[in-house]
Amino acid sequence: MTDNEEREIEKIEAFYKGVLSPEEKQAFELQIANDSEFEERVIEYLQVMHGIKTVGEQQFLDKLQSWEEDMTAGGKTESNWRRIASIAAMILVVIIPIGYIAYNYLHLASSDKLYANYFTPYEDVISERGSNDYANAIDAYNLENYEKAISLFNSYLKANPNNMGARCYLGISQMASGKFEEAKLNLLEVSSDSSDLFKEVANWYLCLTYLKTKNNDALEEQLNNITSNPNHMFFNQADELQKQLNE
Amino acid sequence: MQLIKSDKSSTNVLQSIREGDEKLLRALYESNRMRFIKWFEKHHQISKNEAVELYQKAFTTFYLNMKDGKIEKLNSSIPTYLFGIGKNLVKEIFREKKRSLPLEDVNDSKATDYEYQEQLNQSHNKTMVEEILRRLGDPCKSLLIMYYFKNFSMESIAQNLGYKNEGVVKKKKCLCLKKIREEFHELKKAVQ
Repeated sequence: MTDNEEREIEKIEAFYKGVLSPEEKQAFELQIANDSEFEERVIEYLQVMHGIKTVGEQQFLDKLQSWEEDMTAGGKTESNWRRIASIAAMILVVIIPIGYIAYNYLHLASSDKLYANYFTPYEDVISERGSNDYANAIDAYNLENYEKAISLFNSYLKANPNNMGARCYLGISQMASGKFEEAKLNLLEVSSDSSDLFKEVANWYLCLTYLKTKNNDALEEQLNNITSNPNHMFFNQADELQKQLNE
Repeated sequence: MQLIKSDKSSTNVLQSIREGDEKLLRALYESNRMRFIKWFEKHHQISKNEAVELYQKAFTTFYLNMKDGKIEKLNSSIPTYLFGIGKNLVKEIFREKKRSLPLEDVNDSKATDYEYQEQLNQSHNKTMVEEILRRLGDPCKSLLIMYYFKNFSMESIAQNLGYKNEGVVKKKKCLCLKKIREEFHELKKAVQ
């Protein structure tokens, strides 16, 4: 390959990536207009570059599909992967956000430490925004103003006692404010509603409430409840916590 | 649960994934999957398979935006970002469903013919490039995908594929591209 050919490819590539200066771009387009063979090569190189990118995207989708198959296939592969994934998920869920937890894991001495490691308020990513009381309560919750959130959720729930999402967030706000007995009652109510999306969220936060209040029997039962369902939203966290407690 | 809370940790995760940390990418995929799928199943009345497909599209969009440098730093956490993409995608899907024409009207649509032809051409080009890449195999295939799809730097490619330095990678990349372009040209001529 000659130096000229190499330079030509680099110029086409810079055009493809949109990094030519206005002057360079103008000169490039002029060359295309005056040289039909160059124009043909440019078109083909651009098609090839775009094609490579598309092949890469397809490979990425195939990879996601193979992960899906691993996760739903069952058997040894799944359990191995689950172990790897749970470790990796723990790195994401716990170690990275809090930073110093790895050290603590080696020296787990108390429920309080474990609780501190695991408890972060469930992030509200799902509530539709509006201007009603619920939205105001969620706003306070997202701003970590838990006392205000508790008050707003309570007043919203007086009129809408069956909204399990609001009740779940109320329970978590109460946990964040150290009101564990009240939190437990609300989370138990959500957890016992078999039809609600927040049931699984409540399962996990109940575990943390029992952990904090040292209610070991209830904690064990709740952890077993989660780990018996591999599709549970909090399977990885519960599995890991269970192992920590058994060490 | 808040997966990745601070800007700093989100930025670190994005950086690691950009540098090709597959285990972290998979952990991210798995840890957000169930919550995403359940929520979209419940709130948008879609089937589990549709929700899985939606999640894969949202995750792919997240990955593409990140590696193309469209996300340098997240203002929210990664799960929030994924849900945001999912919400936009699901709106698009419903819009598409509403817009879809009855079969008997399709032949009257000239714009559809043109778009269809464009899609066919792009799909045909992709198939040809895919076939040439498959024939050439590695290192060309890995090198070009790392460069054009994953947006790896020359330095990173040199490290990953064991080349002596960036200059060697650059030269090799040009050689591979030239070879593919020539074969692409021949294939195009053959089918015309």
